[in-house]
Parts: sequence; structure tokens; C-alpha cells
Amino acid sequence: MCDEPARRFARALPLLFALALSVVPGEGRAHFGPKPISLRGAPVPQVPGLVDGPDPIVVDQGAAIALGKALFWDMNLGSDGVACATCHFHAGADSRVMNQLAPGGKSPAVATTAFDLSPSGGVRGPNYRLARSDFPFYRTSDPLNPIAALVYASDDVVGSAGSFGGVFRSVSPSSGTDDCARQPDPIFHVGSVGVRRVEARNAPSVINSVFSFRQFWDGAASNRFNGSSQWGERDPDAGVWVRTGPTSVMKQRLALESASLASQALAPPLNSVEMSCESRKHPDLGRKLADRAPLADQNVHWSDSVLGPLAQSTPGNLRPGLATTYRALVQAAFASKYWSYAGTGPFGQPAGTDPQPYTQFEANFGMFFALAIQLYEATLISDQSPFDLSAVDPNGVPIDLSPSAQLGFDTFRTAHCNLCHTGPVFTSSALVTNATLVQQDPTVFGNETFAVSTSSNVVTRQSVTGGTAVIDTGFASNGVTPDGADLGLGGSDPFGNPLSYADQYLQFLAGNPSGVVDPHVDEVRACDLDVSIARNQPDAHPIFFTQVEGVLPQPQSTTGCFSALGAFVPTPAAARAELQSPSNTKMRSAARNSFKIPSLRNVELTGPYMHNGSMATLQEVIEFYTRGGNYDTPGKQFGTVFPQVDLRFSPQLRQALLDFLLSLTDERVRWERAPFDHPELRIADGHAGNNLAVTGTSPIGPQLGLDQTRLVPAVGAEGRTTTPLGSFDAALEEPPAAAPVPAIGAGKVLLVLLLLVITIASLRVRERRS
Amino acid sequence: MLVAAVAANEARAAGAVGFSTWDGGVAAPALLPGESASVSGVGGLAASMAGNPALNGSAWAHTGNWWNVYLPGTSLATITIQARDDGFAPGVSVWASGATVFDGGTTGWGGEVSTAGFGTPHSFNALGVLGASGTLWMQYGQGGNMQALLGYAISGPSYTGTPTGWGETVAHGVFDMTLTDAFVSAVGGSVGAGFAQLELSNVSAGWYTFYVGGTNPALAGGLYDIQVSTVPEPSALLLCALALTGLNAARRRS
Repeated sequence: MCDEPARRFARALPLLFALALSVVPGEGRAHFGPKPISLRGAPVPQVPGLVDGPDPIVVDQGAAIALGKALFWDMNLGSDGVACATCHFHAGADSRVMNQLAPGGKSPAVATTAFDLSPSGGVRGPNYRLARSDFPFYRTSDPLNPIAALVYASDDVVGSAGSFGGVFRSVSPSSGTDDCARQPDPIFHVGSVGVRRVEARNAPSVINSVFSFRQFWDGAASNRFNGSSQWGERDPDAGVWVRTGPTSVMKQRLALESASLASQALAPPLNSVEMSCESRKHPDLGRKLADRAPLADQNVHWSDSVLGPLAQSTPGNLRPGLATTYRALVQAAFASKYWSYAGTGPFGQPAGTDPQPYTQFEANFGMFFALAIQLYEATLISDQSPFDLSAVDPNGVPIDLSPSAQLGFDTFRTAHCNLCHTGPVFTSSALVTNATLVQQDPTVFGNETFAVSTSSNVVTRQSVTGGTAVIDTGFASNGVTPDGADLGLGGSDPFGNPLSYADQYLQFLAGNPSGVVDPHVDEVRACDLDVSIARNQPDAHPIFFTQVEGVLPQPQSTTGCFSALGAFVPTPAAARAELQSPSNTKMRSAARNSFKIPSLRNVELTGPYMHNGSMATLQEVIEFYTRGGNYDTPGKQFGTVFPQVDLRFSPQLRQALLDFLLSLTDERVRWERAPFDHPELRIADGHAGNNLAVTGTSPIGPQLGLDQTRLVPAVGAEGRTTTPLGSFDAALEEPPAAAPVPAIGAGKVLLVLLLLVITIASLRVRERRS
Repeated sequence: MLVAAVAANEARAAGAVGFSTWDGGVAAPALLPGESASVSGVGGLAASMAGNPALNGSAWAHTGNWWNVYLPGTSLATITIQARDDGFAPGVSVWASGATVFDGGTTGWGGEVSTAGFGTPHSFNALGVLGASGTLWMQYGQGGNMQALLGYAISGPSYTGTPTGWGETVAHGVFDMTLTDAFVSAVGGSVGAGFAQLELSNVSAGWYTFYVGGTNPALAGGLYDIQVSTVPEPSALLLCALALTGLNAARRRS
């Protein structure tokens, strides 16, 4: 009896040693959640009917890509010299630092027009040159501490300088500058001199954007392309003109799936902040560009991976333009029924001073432009970063990265970065790709014990600061800005509909089909929500519907459900009652203050960061997430953005996380090698002078400031040869320091004292002598 | 509140939580009487064990730390959590899994969802006897192999928000949750500023698991040190030898 404990211990010893030896690196990672994986070979969303099928819209994909690349980089597209690439020239993003400030968010609850003082109390405003000391825009006494005292906060936004604006009159077939009535902008002016307006959200990279289900920070560019606007099915007047016979033409609806890049492309060229004078229309662009040489004023490298064969340049002889016209490229790329109707009549006419009616070619130019851009941007896939190229161990962990980056891979998961930046694109907004991968292999993310739903649902349901709420897949509120500073996904379209799928899904559940304006919302499978909205159980629950309120089986199959117990929806009556209840806890939306989760690929090169560009470096981003964000907005996903104590106390872990993020840079992007090569571009990089005075007058208008122009040289397929692209903060400078006060050194002090002593002594000698 | 739900068609997966290592990189040390194990400088989230209002006060498994240890039969084992500064108010729960080490439990076992919307063990009940809501994921015969909650200590304030995630009561202090003497006879201890300690009396040899996290959401979180120690015990053989020696001596005298 007395040796029983010893016997029990002795029996356990072999087990103990076996356990001690069985700790295999990687085995314990199961609870880390989804693991990042390579983008190589990942499925790219395709656009059914665009280049395939019995009646494809595009009949020559190569010509369409060439058209798209030329249009993307052509400065003649904008009303006053702005190209798409003007805001996406640097790793697909914008690294300019002058005249890039906007005074507040894009869709704030309360509009703001006042610029903030800098952290040091300096005056900012239009045409201000950002300095390193301006960042970050939110500061506390300890950037790593979640409860440190607030020191400084600004609601200014680092966006992109765009157009002078003005009211559109007409285009010129020869000039790049449109005829517009231009005045200094009431906000963007220095003294009486107008400067270029600045978009109030930071320009995201276009690289890998083909994977995003929707575009723009607020998702306002529909996944389904309608041919003439960004709004997809929401736009009742959308459509394209189709020639139906030798003398007949008809406007038809278009609905191209997975074509959000095309939807997105249609917005900036008409936006009076970004590229255009007000009231310009896509047919006006067609009229302006149709018969001119693409990139007529910009050099195109002879070895450009797409445009080289069309370039006027020859080896060693760089020349502007392509040896063709936009009309010829359109006619080569697109089916003739979209451009071959010779007459006019049903297509309308310009709103400005040009009386000439539009042609079919012009009327459909928006579609040509948008689909060409879609196809070009779909080629911009960066899947050759060190992370992508690394071999992986049996657990899927990369093994060729530096030890620090390897540690950062784990840290990326333990810090829950992976719960939003999910999958090979490092964003859950890559909805189709992530869902397809999981359908092909449910263990692809290795997340069986710490799973996030990666279904094809366009919404999910999450626990957020304000309760449990429905949110669009791939969108999140991370607490960068306070509630209402920018509504983001919580905004509305021009037709009065909510931008979010989440709000539509709530209407759908409540039996209000008229509240659903987007496809796929009514296809949401309840059992694939991260948090169930209804369960078939007798007891009430505070965050989901039960038999108490009334539930119904989901109409879809339950095969492969994320949560089999959640395969129920509330009865419409129950949903309606909850939606109208002042104590609603089950029918909430987290759209307000939420934004699209960006990819992290090439993030080293795509600063400044966040939708408001408020952070200049990845270190500042890591500090932000280490302290758990800036604000606890109601929709904040506190389960993913919360104080990271391990990061806070470990510079090694923070460095590791940074090193892992740096491993996501594709060297082809850094060196602008194909497919990331490009034509020459001249961009407005602020105006001559500064934020206090603008010197020089723009040739565009007598009251407008003279642009400072930066030349981005043409690069061929082999890329840059000397200087690679750098990070955003490398372009920031400190303001010139005040003139130094001459210092008096110790030697000078001694010399003065010595002279003083000598003087006094000599005076005394004189006194004695006298 | 006890729940009896068993999802018959569910498969135990284990590994729902991962375990931290002790100093020296040891995953699950087997202590002898008088030995101790410790970890220095662990990062503790302010409210990963209790008091987080977003979780309705409940514990948050993936943001706290889990440790396994094999304790020998001993009269007293002590678990001490000491914060490095006033930014962290520690809490600790201790369970026994008997002859096998805790397997980590099964995510979402039984489909339990807290009042704050999280399934287990993202949110779990660190304060309830096994079988209570929020514990099925780790309970023996359900999603895990844990046999019993023995006790817990919370150095932070009591949580007054209602309802808690799993119906548990989050209160400041030390709580003995033993239902039998199968593993320990009693749990005592103390809490103070930045300090939590549990004392396990009359410990049976076997596997024990600790979960440590913060209990005061108003703080910043911080670093802490953890130590588990056992009192030196005369070995069984030594006891027998002493007993035989004593008997012999008594015989000689008689």
C-alpha cells in the first residue's frame, strides 16, 4: 500500500518520455487557424461569356489586353492629363507625397472640409508635402500599449491627387485636355489658386485585384458587370447596344459574372475628383480617343511585354505611341455586333456643347474600356514572391524563408492576421478563389480545428464589438477610424440601396425581396455562416433564432456545411419582428465603418496603409494591430483585432512578422518586370510651390496651379535595371529644420573668460599705475 | 447549468487548443516530488480569462496560455502566477485529466455557442464544472479527455455584466471546485495585485492542465511568470525502510 504512488508514477514514466519526444514542429499549429498558401496555381476567377462560349464578347483576347494596357496608362483618358495609372503607378498603388491630403473620409456621417494641423502643430492643407513626421495619423504615448494616452489624431486622409474638376463642355479629338468650365475648387485651393482635388480614400494596388469579388474599399463596384456603369444589377438603365440586323440595333442588359474589375473601371474616368470634368460620359471618351494613337504622348518601350509589338519604338530608339488606333484595337478585340452599326439616332448625344450624336462605337465605349481593363488587370498576378517559391514541409509550412520570416509565418497565424487575410491572396475578399480551393480540398488551409468559413457565401456572421452581426465576406471594421468618419460599406448607392450585401441579406430573411438588389444574396447558405443565425432547438438563445421565435430549414443542401446545426433560418415573421425591435440582437449588420480587406501581397511597396492612408510603414501597421486598433467601433471584429501582448513585449516577434510580410514581395513587381512593365507616364506630383503659396499657372486654366510633373520612364519586359521600387516612407522627407543657432563651445567660453580676466587685470594694473 | 447534450455523430478531433512550453522548451514535464517547473516572461492579454465585455465576461481560449504538467503524488502542489507589473491581473484555472495528458479538446463540440456569439473553445467556460455550458469541448466522454475542474483564482474584479457567456459567475477570489478527492482533496490559494496562486492539497499522481489569462479588461495586459512546484516528499521506499527500521528497533527494545 505504501508504494502505490511510486508504482503509479513508474507506470506513467514511459508515457511521459514518449510525450516529451513527440513534440514535432508544426504539429501544434492546428490551433493557429488557416495557413497562408502559395498563389501559384490558385484558381483565378473567370468571366463566363467574355472570351468563351458560343457568342463571346471578346474575340481576340490579346488585342483586348493590349487595348486595356494602353487605356490604363494613357494620360489622354482624363479630362486634364490623369491616367488610371496616375494613382496606380507604383506596384499598382500610389506613392506620391505632395498634394495627397484630403480633409476627412469619403462618406462620413458628418462632412468635414477642414484640414488638421500636423502632429507638430504645423499648417497642412492643399498642396502640402507629407513628411515622415506626419505619420502615423493616430498617436498615443506608447504605440504598443492598448490603453496609452491619446496624443494626436487626425481625420485627414492620404488619398490621390486627381483632377481639377470643372463642368464638361466637350472633348477634342486632338488635345488631351477637355474643354471644361474650371474654377478653383472650394476646398482644394491655395490662396486663390486652384489645385488638383484629392480622393478621400487611399488608392489600393491593382495587382492581384482580379481576385477580389468586388472592388473599391466600400465594395461599390459590382461583381456583375452591366456594360455601362459600376452598379451591376442595381442600375435600371444599364445596358449595351447590340446590332441585331443590317439596320437594327437594340439596347440589351448585360450581366457578366466575376467582372468587378470592369465595373470598377467605369467609375474613375467620370469622377470629377479623380479624372474628369463633371457630366462627362463614357461615349465622350470614345469620341475623344477613337481615332488617335494609343499613348500618343507617352513613350512605349520596344520590349513592352504587351505593347512592344505595336510600339513605334525600335530597339534603342524610344518613341511615343502605338502604330494603331483605339478604334482599330476595339474592332480587333470585340465582336462586331457591338461596334459595326454605322448609323446614329438611338444612342443619344453629348450633354455639353458638341451637337454630334453618338455612334454605336461611342455608346459602347464604356464596355470596351471596362472589359479591356478587366482583361489587362487580370494579367497582373504576382505569384512569385519568396513565400510562393518556398518549398513547404508536410504541414504546409514554408521552409526556405529566413528563420525570422519562418517565425513570422507562425506569428501571422497566432496573432490572428490569417483570419481576415485568408488564403493565397491574403484576403478573404478573394471569395471565389478561397471557396474553390476549399471545395477542391477541405484541408487546403489546414484549419480543421480552428476554422473560418471559406464558402461561396457573400456574407457571413461574426461577433463584433456591438454584438453579433452579419457582414459581407471579405470586409471588416478594424478600428482605424472612429465610428462615422467614413461609412465605407455602410454607405448607399445613388439609387438609395445599401452598398452592403449584409443589409440586403437581413431584408431577404425578413421576407422583403425588394430589398435585395444584388445577385447571390438570396443564395446565402445559413449553415456556412461563421456564427449561426438560427438553430432548430427548443431553448431561446440571445444571438440566434430558435424554435421560440420560429425557424425554418435552409432551402439549400446541407452537404459540407460549416456548421450543420446552423442550417436554419428564421421565419420571415420572426426576422421581421427582430429587425423592427428596438432591442434587436439577432438581425444586426456590421457594414458601417467596414472596408474591404486588402491583399498583403507586395505590401512592402504599397504604402501608405489602411483605407485612409494613415500609416506610412509596416512597422506602424504592426504597432496598430499590436495595440488592438485605434477605436472600438460597433462593427469591429474584436476577435481578430485585439491587443497582442506577445508582440508588444517582443521586438523579435514584431520583426519576424515584418520579415514574413516582406517575403510576400514579388521581385517582378519590385523591378517592374513583365507583366508589371509599363509605358512612360507623366504624373502631377503636387504643384509648384507649397501649401502656403503656389507659383506658376497651369496651361489648363488661368486660376489653376502649375503641376509639378514627375516622369515615370517606360519600362520593357526585362524591367528596371538600376533602381527598384521602394517603400512609401522612402519618399518622405523631413521638413527643413530651422536654421541652427550658432553654438558656443566650451573652448569659446574659456577664451571669453580668459579675455575678461586679462581685461580686468590690465584695468587694475592701470588703476595702480595711475 | 449542466447540459447533457451529446452529439452522437460528432467525431472527436482534439487539438482545439495548443499548449505552451515550459522553460527549456519542455512541452509537458513530469515532476518528481520537490521539483518545480516554471516559465518566465509570458505575455498575458488583459482579459483572456475573465471580464472581457465583448465575450460577456467569459474566457477566450486562443488568447490565454495552456500548460500541461504531470504532478507526482504529493501533499501539496502550488501554482503561482506573478505579473511583472501592474498591467496584468492574472487568473488561473486548473483541471485534471488523470492518466492521459489533455488532448486539447474538440472545436465546437456539441455546437455550443456563447451568449456573445463564439463557439467553443474560442469562448469557453473556464470556471464551470465539466458538463456545464461551455465545457463540453474539453470534457471526458464529450469533446476531450478532461476529467474535472479543480479550482480557479481570479485576481481581477468580479464581472457584473449580465449574462455571462456561459452562465458562469466571474468573481474575484479563489474557488475550490473539487467534487471528489480523486485528484486533489482541496484547492486553496490567494490572489492579490498582479498575483494569483492555487494550492492543491493531497495531489494524486497524474496529468494536470492550467489555463492562465488576464482578468481585468481595464488594464493593458503584460508579462507574467508562472511556476508550479511540489513539496518534497519522502519516497515510498524510504518510508517503507524507515518503517521497517522503526519496527526492528521496537522489537530489539522489547
